Amino acid sequence: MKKKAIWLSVVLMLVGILPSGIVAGELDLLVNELVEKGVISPGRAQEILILSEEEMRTQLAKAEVSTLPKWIQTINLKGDFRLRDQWEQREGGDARNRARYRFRLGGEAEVTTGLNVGFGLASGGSDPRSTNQTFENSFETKTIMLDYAFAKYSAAKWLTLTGGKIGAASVFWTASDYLWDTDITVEGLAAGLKWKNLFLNTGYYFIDEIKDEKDPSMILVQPGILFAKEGSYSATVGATYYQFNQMKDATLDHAKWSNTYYKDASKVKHLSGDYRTVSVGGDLQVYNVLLPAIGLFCEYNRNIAADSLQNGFAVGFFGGYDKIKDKNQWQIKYSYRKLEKDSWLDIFPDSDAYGGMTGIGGSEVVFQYGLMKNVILGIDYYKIENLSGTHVPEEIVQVDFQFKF
Amino acid sequence: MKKTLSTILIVLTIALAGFAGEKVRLAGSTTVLPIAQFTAEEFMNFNPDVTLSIRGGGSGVGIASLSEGTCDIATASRSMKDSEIKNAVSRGIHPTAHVIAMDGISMVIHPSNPIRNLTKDQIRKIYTGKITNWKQIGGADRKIVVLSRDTASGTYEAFSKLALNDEKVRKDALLNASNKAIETAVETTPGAIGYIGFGYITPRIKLITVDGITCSKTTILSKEYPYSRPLFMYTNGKPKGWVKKYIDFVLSKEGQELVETAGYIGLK
Repeated sequence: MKKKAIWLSVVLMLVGILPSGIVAGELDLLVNELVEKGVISPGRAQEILILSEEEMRTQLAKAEVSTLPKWIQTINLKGDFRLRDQWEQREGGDARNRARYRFRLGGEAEVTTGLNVGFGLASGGSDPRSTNQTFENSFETKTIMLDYAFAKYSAAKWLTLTGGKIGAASVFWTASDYLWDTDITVEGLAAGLKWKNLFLNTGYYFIDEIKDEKDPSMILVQPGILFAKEGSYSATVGATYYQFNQMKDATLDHAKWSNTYYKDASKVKHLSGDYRTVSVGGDLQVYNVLLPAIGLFCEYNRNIAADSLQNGFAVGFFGGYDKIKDKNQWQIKYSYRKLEKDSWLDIFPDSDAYGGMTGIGGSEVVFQYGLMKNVILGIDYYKIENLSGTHVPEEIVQVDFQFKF
Repeated sequence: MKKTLSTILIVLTIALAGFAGEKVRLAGSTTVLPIAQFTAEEFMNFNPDVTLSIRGGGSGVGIASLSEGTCDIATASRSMKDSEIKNAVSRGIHPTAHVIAMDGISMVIHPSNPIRNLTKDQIRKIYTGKITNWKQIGGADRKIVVLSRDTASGTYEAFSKLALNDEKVRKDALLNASNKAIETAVETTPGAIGYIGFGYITPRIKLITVDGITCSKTTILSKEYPYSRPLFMYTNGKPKGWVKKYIDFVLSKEGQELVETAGYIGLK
């Protein structure tokens, strides 16, 4: 009995006094010895070892948490850095080669339960469709812009309200990027409702603010349905109604002027028509049939306010991995798109597809490969041409190295 | 003297009123659920003034619930993750672990399957999709139907850590919400393989050895069985009041006998 007490005292002394690294190893040996000598049961031995490890982890976490400022404890940061070499040429024109980078840093903090604030900083200029920055101008220092900033409130399990400058993909669904460049962050108020497989995204977004005039804006209503079985398939079908207000006669910043327009006496360009667009689309991913993932997507849109040149569509597929996160994972994707002149406002489409203009059609092929965890090699090829006038196809090849953190 | 007696009576009445109808809320692991149910029932028999409410949902749900202050005891079939501990601490909750039992994640197959043993490497390859047919490991020419627990489950997390080196379970694995669901699916699917808590082994399914070691009380307690794991109850700091009385009961000789009745390995 006395011997048992001595052994137990030794264990307790080690747990209480020695540094944790020594305790872990010494404690294992001592506890095993105690079991072998019949002082304690194997179950009690496991209890002592597990609890000492748990206690150590808790103490370490407490120490780490208590040394960090409160704001760091409640904030999650993420970001990426991308190096790109871009070659492009329009038929009959000169080829252009640019070395570019993109840096993005975003964070989201919990203000209180259910209420979060997010922000994102990104390289590039004021172009809403690009965060790329070309290496140029004698090593000049580059700008960092506010990419997004929003407050999001989960009012109920089925209702999320968001206000601010928001990544478009986080407040409404799209099957492809032919209507919405993935860099666009919309500005306004959004409400997302979910019930079982059904979802309804709505929003009011400010496109411009013009003194003494009604402001161009967009109202979006998007009902949809999502079916998914983890590890087997995922399918989404959605319909979207875009009501663009005050578009006729508007002069929009960052317009490509590929929509129908007129010039006033001062030679300022104005949109000639209205835009009320209906879009329907769907995507389907099937997992572990021939490949880790196979996907199909299609989307169709029609500007019901226009009389002609009012349709657009995109179709495509991919094979490989759904997302590239690790070494040796890969994906190949093909898509074809067509956007007639007045089918969609030319301030929104993918900026790499003929400069983001409407009145275009063509293909894109993307190959991505995981070089190591969170490091991706991407090769993106576009061949797009204009649909009217003299056909001038444009080819773009982008070679990317993307580093995510 | 009369005054002192009345004061004592008043204090006692208030104290008793405070205890009367008190509630202890447990939430978390479906693996620990049978232990919680058996012990709670017995505990309430002896202590009619307290009600123990037990909710499942998975270890992650229980731990989140403890961190949010919506339960008094989180039951878990895995350790808390560092991120969960930090989250709890930053909310003013100080998770304290209580090991209440040991368990072995048991590998089970359909009784008609001739396979008797799998190596850890073979199990990892089956669950990550590198082995897809039983004939690749000496069995019949039959597709392997991989059954796994869903991602909210502590058993899933523990299995991923112990058996898969934190690799992800293949995407076509059929995910089940409980040990019982896995047991039923294995029993009715000739090509199936699944993993369940030690307490859920029945004669209707076939237990196989891992690296030649049988999942048993002795091999689990000695940690010789490679998929041994502790089962936990977590409280906010050192337990007090009815929470302490209940935890003490679970760890008592009587409580540990109930742990064994539930099919798990007691510590005593």
